[in-house]
Amino acid sequence: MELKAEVLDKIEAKGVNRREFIKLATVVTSVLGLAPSMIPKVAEAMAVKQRPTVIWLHFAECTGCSEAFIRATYPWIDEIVLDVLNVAYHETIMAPSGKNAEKSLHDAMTKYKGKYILVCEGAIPTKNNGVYGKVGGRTMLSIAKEATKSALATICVGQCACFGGVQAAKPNPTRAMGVGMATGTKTINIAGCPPNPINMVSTVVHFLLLGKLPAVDSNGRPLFAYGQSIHDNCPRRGHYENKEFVKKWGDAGALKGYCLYEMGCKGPNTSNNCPLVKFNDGTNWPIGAGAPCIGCSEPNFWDTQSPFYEPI
Amino acid sequence: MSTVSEQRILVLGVGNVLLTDEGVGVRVVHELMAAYDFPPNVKLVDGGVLGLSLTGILMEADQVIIVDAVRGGEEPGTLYRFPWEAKPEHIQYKDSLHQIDLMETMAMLPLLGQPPAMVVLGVEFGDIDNYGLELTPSVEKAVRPLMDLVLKELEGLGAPGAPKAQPQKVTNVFGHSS
Amino acid sequence: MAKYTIDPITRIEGHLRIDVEIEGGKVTNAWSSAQLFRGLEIILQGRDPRDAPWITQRACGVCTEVHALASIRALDDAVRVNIPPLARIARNLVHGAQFIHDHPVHFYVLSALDWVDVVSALKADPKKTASLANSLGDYPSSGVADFKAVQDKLKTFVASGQLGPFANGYWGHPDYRLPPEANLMAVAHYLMLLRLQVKAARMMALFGGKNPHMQTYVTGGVTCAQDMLDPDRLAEFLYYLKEMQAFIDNVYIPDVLAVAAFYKDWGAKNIGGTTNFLAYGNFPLNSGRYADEKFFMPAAVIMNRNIGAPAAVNPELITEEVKRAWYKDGPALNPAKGVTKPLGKPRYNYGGKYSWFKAPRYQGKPMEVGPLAQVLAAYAKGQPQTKALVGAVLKHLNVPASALFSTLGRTAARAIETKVIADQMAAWVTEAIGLIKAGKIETAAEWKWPGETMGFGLIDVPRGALGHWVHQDAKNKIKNYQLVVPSTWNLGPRDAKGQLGPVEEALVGTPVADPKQPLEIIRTVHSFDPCIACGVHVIDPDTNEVRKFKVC
Repeated sequence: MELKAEVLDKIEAKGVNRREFIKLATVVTSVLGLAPSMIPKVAEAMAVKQRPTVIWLHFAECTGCSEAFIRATYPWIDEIVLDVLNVAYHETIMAPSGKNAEKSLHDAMTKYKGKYILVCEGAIPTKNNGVYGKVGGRTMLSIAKEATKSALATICVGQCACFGGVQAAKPNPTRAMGVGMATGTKTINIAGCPPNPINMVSTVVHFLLLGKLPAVDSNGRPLFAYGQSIHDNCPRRGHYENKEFVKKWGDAGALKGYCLYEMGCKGPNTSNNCPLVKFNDGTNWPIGAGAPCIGCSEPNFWDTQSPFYEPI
Repeated sequence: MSTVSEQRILVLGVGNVLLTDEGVGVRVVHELMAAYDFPPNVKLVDGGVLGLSLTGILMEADQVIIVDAVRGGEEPGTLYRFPWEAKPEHIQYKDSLHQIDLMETMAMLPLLGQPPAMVVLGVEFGDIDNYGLELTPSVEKAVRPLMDLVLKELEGLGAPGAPKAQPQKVTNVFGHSS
Repeated sequence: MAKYTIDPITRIEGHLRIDVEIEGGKVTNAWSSAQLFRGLEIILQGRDPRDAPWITQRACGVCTEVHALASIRALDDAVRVNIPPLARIARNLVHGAQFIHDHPVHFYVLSALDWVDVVSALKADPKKTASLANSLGDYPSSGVADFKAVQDKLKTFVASGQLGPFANGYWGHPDYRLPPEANLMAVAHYLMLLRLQVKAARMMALFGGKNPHMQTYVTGGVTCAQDMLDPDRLAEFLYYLKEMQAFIDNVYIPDVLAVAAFYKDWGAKNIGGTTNFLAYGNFPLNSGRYADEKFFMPAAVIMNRNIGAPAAVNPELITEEVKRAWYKDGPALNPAKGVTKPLGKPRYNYGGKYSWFKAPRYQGKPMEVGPLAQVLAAYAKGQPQTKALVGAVLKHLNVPASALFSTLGRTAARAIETKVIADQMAAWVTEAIGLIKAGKIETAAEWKWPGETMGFGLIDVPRGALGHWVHQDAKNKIKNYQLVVPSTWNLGPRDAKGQLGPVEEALVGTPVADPKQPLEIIRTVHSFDPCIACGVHVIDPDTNEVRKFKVC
């Protein structure tokens, strides 16, 4: 494996540490299911000059997805993303005034019409024509409809934008739903509560590398990340086959890392690559910490996967 | 080619200070920091269990002295010296998590450029399986000789340490600073 | 004085709205209004109580973990289970990690820019900045080249026209008092922290599984038995802790002191100060029901700034009032019996109802919660670490203890608390090792469903006193669930007696040099670390003009 010196120089000029960058490129390559020989290509794609334009919108959410992005993967990821992409609109980057922000959004949508990637974070309240969620005096519903219409592609980040999230849990007081359903658009859904940022980065790299968005499943989730169930790749799977289960918190089985199926684990119902990439730079993941999966990347998991501690 | 004294030298103590003798490398580094002053081209680092996070520090050095506990089959407290890439067959490096990390770290270095020259200064451990903040007696006795071994190595590299006028005391697992 | 009505009010993004009247260069009246009704209580009804921690945790992704903790404490209480010591330590480590992540992030990302003029940093001399840094403390990466690099980065940033996180600033405001070099130093540390906070998050993930939205707390204890018993996990935690401690000691604390030195009058005049303080206590040192718990950071009620007479916390004395909030009128109720009946058509009325927040009261009084309350409680109760550190800070700045009752005091308290907690955490790891060596490796206690029951969980979190109240029915489902969150205490509205909420009280008297750039107001609002995006409305009595500012 050899990286072009100029790629690394370019990365370093942006203040990104080589070591972190190579590590990230390696992780992204493996997440995308590419051969290790592709690492230099992935690294190149991540360092390109030609940057796709991104418009990033916030709807009804808890900011957990943004938080996941700023603190996960490698410390320099925020810079990589900001440098790799041309972020034309992001509410936290905009000037203070609501009016000017609105104008920037309008300008970006006009200027890059049909060419921008729309990233959505948060659900769309739709009850009473969406009056329960407004930005700059406009309903989130109307903003989302307009923004998705002229987008090259819409990427939904997190359970809320994908499927409605916690505010859509029964009895769903504001009739909140995912961006795709609310606007009638086909969206790429990076599911999870919050999702693993590596899957977001990998989706973008896929786009940069191959010029197209990744293949998705029936729920709009990229197959490279959501193509297999947590159960299938779980390091505790062997214990499941051997019928070795945790029966009580902290019991002998828990100390041996037995299967959490009987404690309510929703791994068999849940498609995601958590067992392979883990969270916080591979530090840990819920099942690693002995906690049953709650199925947070499945549509409407607050209702469909709960109660979380009852076996499937 | 830089002259010897211009070499960037890293003394890296590694191991888990919570596991009895596993922390001996870290301990030695802290003892050295507390009692000696070193030339500006020498850096002493408590690498602990940081594994892959150490790649940056390693790549910034020309010459690395790794201080660690070693399994060589001799009596606990026995000292070893060997180059990293030429470690003797009969020496098994330990099988703890940090070791796997360290191996992976070393394997990654060539991807990043010219790796530093690395030498291991080690001591045969007595116990690395049980929790304990103290070293076993025979390894405790080896701390001073191991410190001397590091000092000798540095001297050979043209970067001798000088005893501090007022040496500090190593008070906790993190060394003297906190 | 004339009333100014703002309608429509939706031109501003954000869920908190602050209205002020300014006369003679000072705030004369203030209203704090929450603009969002979340309705989590309604979604919780009828669900399995064990799911409540994960649902309530989604109230906020910034203050992640804290709702899960308050919720699990309420559930432990409802089934009357005492958690094992190792589980208690695991929770303390995860919760402590949240503090040492959250507080520095608040100072650098959310509030430092209220005191630090980023644009002025462009004019700084990197050489002088380096000597300033070296005169203040043992800062890392503080060479001339380091500051030059930061300044170059900043220049590129500004030249690109995209200010990124530095947008929203009132650069050049007359009350930015720091010299360019101090500003440049602060910007360098801001960037340093952005990278370091990633590691603090890993500390939580080591035992919590991930961050944000950790997943290890269960009724009776924690699930992370393997991680808590793994020496390499514990050691890794200590190394991240050590790195954070170095930042707190060598960067965060000196920076707070450096900024404070330029604003001593804010302390002397008690600008941004309030009157009563409530701390529920934090980091339990034993297991048991709330009344029997002892805390590392003590619980206390302090009335009328009298730190000589801290009282014990009696949860029965907590009430919530709805007279001035957008709920159906009713008596002041303890949250255990709380009702949530939102009005269908909320209308903003300065003299009437104006917020989605209820007004929490203790003994009928508004109470400030958060780091200042927590530090005052620890100080008043004589906790040695806090006492020593508060003393050192006051001495360094040469100000009396009364200066603590201010926006500046609140900011300093946050830093002090961070250090006190961080310095204690290694001892908890050592305690855990002691337990493990003694064979006390239980991480969860057994419990049984008790039938209909009630429970509450009180704990101090980075933003203040957090309480969850749960009422389970005979079928083990949630009958009623109430959350009283720190921001409700601090940013809640007036009550039936017309007493101002803490942030409203804190704002009155604040000098405002230029109503078009309400920097001073934002400083005080930010010092409470509101957990909600907030907007500030300034009413200019001369022109009747209303100005609206998005502040986060």
